[in-house]
Amino acid sequence: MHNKPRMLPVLFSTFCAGHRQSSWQPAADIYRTRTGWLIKLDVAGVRLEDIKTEITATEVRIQGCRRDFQSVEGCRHYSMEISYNRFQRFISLPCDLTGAEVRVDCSNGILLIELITEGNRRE
Amino acid sequence: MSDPNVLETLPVLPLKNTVLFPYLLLPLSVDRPFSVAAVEAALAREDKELVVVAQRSTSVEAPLQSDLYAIGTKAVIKKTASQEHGGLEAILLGIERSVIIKLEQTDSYLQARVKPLPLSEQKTAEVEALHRELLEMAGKAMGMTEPKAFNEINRLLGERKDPFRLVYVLASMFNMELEREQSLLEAETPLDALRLMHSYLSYELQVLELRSKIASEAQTEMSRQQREYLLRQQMRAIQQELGSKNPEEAEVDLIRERLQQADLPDEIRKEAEREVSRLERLPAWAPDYSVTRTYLELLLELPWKISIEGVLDISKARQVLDEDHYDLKEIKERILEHLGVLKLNPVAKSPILCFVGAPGVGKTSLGQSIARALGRKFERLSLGGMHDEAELRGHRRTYIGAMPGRIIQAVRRAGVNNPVLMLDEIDKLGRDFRGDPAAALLEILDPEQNRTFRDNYLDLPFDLSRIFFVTTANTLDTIPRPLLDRMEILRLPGYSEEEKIEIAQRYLIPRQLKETGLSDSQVIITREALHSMISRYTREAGVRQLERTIGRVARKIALRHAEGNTEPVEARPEDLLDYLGPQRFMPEQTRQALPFGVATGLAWTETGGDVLYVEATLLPGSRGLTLTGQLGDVMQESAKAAQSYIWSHAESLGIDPALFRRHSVHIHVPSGATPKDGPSAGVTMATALASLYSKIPVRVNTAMTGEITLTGLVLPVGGIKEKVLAAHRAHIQRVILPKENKKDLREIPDTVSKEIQFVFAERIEDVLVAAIPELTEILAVARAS
Repeated sequence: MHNKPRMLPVLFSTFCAGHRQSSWQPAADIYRTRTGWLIKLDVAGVRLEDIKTEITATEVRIQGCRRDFQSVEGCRHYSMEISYNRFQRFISLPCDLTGAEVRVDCSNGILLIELITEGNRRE
Repeated sequence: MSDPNVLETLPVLPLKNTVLFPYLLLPLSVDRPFSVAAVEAALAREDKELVVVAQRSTSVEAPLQSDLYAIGTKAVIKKTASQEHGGLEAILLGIERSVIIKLEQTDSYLQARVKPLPLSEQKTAEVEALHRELLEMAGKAMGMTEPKAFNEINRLLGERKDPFRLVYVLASMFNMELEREQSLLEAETPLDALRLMHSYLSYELQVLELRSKIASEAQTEMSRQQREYLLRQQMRAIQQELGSKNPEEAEVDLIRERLQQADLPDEIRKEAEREVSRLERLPAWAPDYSVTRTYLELLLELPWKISIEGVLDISKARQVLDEDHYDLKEIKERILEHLGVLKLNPVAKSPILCFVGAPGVGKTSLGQSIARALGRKFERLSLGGMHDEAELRGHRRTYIGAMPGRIIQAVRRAGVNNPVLMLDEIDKLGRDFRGDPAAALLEILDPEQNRTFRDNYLDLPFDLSRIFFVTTANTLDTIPRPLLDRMEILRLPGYSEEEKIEIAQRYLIPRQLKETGLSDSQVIITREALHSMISRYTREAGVRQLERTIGRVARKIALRHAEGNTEPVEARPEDLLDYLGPQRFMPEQTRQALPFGVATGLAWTETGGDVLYVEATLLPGSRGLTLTGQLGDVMQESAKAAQSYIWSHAESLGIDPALFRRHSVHIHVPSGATPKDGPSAGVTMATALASLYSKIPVRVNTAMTGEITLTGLVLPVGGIKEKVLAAHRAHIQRVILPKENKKDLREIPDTVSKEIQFVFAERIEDVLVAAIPELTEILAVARAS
């Protein structure tokens, strides 16, 4: 018999952290701008081509995968804290996003997603 | 989700005793070198993935493909940390089910070609029903195991709509065997998974319910025992602090110590030591513990070798006896004789004395005086009404509540093995189906046997031969013969009025005044008043009633003092009516004039002597002899003998024989309600008949006693002292006694004998001459002829 009570904190962490998938959640800052929204996502080390951004009527869905890379040949992990592999973050915003314009940029490991809502679109 | 058809090569981490489910985190420590290598290989991958598979057996250290289940879980490493000893701590997150297609061995770790095994979806009513049922059961089970987290967990579980997830979460929460967990992981459809979980959970729920029931039952018992244990521990601690042992040990130690100090015969010591070691082995709550302890206490308290060796001083003993008792010269002499023997030969068998006498004549206090004179302890026990042999000899220890017999108890109380032991009321022993206590007494009172008296309880021989036994009885008639043979009988006669006055003045009045709190200067009871109390308010051979009467007078006077009238009081005969009410007894008045046919006799009663009159009268018609007045057989026969003698000697008495033919005789002896018996009224009846037929009255103030034979001889009778004292009380001046009773006059106080003229008769003629002087001449003539 293994010791099961230790599963309880694990259970909590799964429920609280992971949402609908077994994946990790990057931290996000959300700003209101004059034209809409700005979302900053902490996805350092993720290649831009590995990030997929989707917009529904109420949600911004960011999914992707962080792959590790070896900067020095022949090294070994002593400890590991950074979450790798798949991540996803669904952010719901209190407005209709239909027709909004999305600009994705990356600066120093921070993913910047700018949303310009329909009425503020620069024609 | 990965493409189900794409094969991947991943490092394999075998798990010893658990299964990692998709969606769940698993912290674990990795120690086995090939596992560490597998984790490091996974960490070296850019996606940090590996596959986790459960081992079939926990005992296999280097598993091959056959030792691992085919289905495992693909996982991503969330965190790791190296341990000092080379192993690592890792947290894995299950991603998806995978099936191992092929296991390969690399240099340092296992790796496998794996294929994803996606979970199927199913939305039937049955799945939904099982899902809800499981939620409810899980809620119940959580409520029992984790009541604090219950609400939160329940809410979280409720949010999960995916049946697989629910099953996986539940599986990780409850203690499940590896096989079950593995079969959950392998379940093809949600329905299979739900069913498996349901069957497990319902069993688990039953176990939990049973457990909580047992726990609550055990709780009460446990808390009681714990409390007791705690208190005992505290007590022990306190005792240790105070430097004492626990009570049982201390008790046994105490007994052992006493045993060492006690002076016991060897045989007894051996037995006692056996019992002590038995006591040590017994727990204090065992019923035998207290039985053994009580027995040992008796054993240790009994005076096996303790005796008081007083210096026997005969003159001091005489002084003690004289101080305590007035008169009783002969008894004291007999007692002193025995003491004299004891002085010359201390190991002589103690005599067994039996005091016989009316109530209140001082039998018990004589026993106490003997003890005082000898300087020994005094113990007394009453045998009156005792009807069970076991009361004397004790019960065997096997009986519940068994006790030693009264004899052993008395010796224990005395604390010495040579006390004066008084057995009161030996004439009132009962007997029934439980045995005859008199028979037990035979052994106790026999000096040959009582050296090794075995009490049933004690079951060891105890020497009673050094005990000075004194028994008392009111009458000898009811004492069994063999018992009587073992005792030296000492009769205590009743007291004369003079003696009673002396006793009252010396002992009774001071005692009663002391009890009522008066001083002897405050109360004076005159001799005349005492006299009146003795004759008018009491009728007894002893002085018990007299003492009570004096007490009543003393209390009346004490009341007067308490009310403030403190003048000294002198109680005179005329005051007695106030103190005691009207006179209770009218002494048989000396009849001042006796008609012919009446003679004065003397009788012995248990309460002393009495004067009685024999009345005879002639009846017309010759119908023989009528006797009335509750006369016994012997008395009736002696009446007939008297009549026959008078008839046969009618001529010499100057009696007309025609009287016999024409008249019958009736003899009555008052008082009619008191039964009387004995031959001693023979001469009285003969005298009454002689007076009746000769028509000459008997001399007044003359009383007589004696047995008569058909030939006219006068035989001696008993109870002379009581009879003479009764005559003296009745102011009779002349007493006719059988000649052979002359020796008994020594018992009579001088004050009495001075006032009475004694006539000693050998033949009835001597009686008649003394009683009816007018017959003298006739008799003289008859003799001459």
